[in-house]
Amino acid sequence: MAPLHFAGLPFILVTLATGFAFGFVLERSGFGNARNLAAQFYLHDMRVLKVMFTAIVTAMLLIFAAAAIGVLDFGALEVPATYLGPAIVGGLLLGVGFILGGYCPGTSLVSMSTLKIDGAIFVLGVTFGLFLFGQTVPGFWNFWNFSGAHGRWTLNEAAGVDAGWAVLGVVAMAVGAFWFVERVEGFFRRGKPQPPLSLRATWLRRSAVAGALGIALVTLAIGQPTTERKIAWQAQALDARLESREIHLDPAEVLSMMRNNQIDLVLADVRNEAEYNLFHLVDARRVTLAELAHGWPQRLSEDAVVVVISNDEQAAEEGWKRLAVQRVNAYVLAGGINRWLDLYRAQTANVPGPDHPAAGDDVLRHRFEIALGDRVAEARPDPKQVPPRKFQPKLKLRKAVRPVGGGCG
Amino acid sequence: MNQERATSPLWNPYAGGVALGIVLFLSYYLSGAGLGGSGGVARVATFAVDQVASQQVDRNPYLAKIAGGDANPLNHRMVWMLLGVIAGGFVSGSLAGRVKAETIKGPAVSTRLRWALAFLGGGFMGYGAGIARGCTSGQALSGGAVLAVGSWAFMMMVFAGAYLLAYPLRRLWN
Repeated sequence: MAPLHFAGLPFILVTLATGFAFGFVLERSGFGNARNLAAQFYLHDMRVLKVMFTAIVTAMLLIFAAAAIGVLDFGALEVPATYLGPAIVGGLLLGVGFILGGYCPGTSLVSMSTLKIDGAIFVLGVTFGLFLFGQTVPGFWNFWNFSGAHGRWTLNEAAGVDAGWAVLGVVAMAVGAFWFVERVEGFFRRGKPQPPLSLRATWLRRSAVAGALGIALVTLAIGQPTTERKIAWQAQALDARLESREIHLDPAEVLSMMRNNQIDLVLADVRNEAEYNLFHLVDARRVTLAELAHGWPQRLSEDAVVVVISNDEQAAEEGWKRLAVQRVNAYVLAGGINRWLDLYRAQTANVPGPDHPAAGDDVLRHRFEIALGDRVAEARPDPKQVPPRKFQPKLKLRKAVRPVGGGCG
Repeated sequence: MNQERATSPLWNPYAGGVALGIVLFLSYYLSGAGLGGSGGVARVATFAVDQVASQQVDRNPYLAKIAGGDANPLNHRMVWMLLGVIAGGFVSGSLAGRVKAETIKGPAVSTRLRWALAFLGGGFMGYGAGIARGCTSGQALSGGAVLAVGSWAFMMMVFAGAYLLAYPLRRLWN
């Protein structure tokens, strides 16, 4: 499932090609010339708004339609994190810069590439502005990082509806805006009237609007994929990862993680309440599979490492699938609670390593007379009190997908 | 005027928008991320500072993330995109006969003033793009297409800021 992942030279070539196409289209649309751009704000040529909104609508329709039919994993796309305060202040500054200078950073690069002197000077200005920003941002660090910070947050999430509704709304708004700006242009261009649209152009516009609304409606009707649908689509890849045992952690590794305060560890115990009350690991939270599929992962921090725990492995692997398709860095406790207790309660010799699947069918093998929960030593044994154990470490910490940086990307 | 080479007409804005939208979709499809303009410039600026005052970069929490220690600020997706944009603009401009050393300005503005204002406007843009974590390409366009709340707020404020100043500064462009 896309997005594709390139690395090394192919990645550089893909990025260069994307940038090339971006620059080419900007130049063709007239964005290399400040007068075309500034005309937007004097209302006689609303080219900027038309190109930008058409581009946003086109890309949005393709992205969300592809996500609905399972071609593209929306969760894997980089959505710029929302920082409302900086977005508002920065947006106003960009608006001021636009009227004064006539470009934005991307278009000034295009302008410079076609040897426009004002464009090249503008690029120098942008460089200086970014330099100044880098020197001064420590002075308003808290505003920059915490004012209205919501992380990854989309319009449909804010409204609590399927993304299809937001897509339909944006298409409707764009069509309305185009209709409106065509009227405004006509009014402010009184001097030189536009020739009336040809029949073909009228027909093209109507079919484009109908097509866009059609795609939006189909996207809405299919709906963005639920966790269950994503599991069905990715079944093969998920089973292959389970088969390879790369996500099964040895009890000793989980214990070392519980003693490591640098890891944002979340222990998700998917057993029933009675078994959880009998015995569970220190700090384990009891969750149901249904909760894992809906809503629960959204409350995790970006760096969270989740270890799913059941008596053996069956239920835990089901829970892991639900988290994996939602791109949580999730693992399964190899052998489950039973193996944990073999190791730390019964202190059995030759407890198998994490590559060894648990044979059991998720029934608690160890007997507890009373419900002690985590008030027993084996809920988080002191490493000095248990025999040392060798294990193959499997945990992979994710680097933050992208550091909080200024500028585009 | 008759000495100028004929330039091919600009694309219809809606056609240009569809083409730009497809490029943006392909960017997300191929690399999982959108387009950008100022990110590459920010890295070039940081690279320059790093050459002159490397310790200053290491002590600044924002710059250190880009070029702290041994990190090479130029080894980044946005720098490649920057090069691509310049090449694409140049090729398109050459094919259309629009590559020409000139200064684009409003009729009532002297060339010197236009240059000064271009630098000043660029400065505002660069500073604003730093605060907003992106410019019209990375925030408004790319973030808008994936429906990011902050990107839409940002886009509205860009238009608001520009329209607020457009009338008082109308002599710059008309």
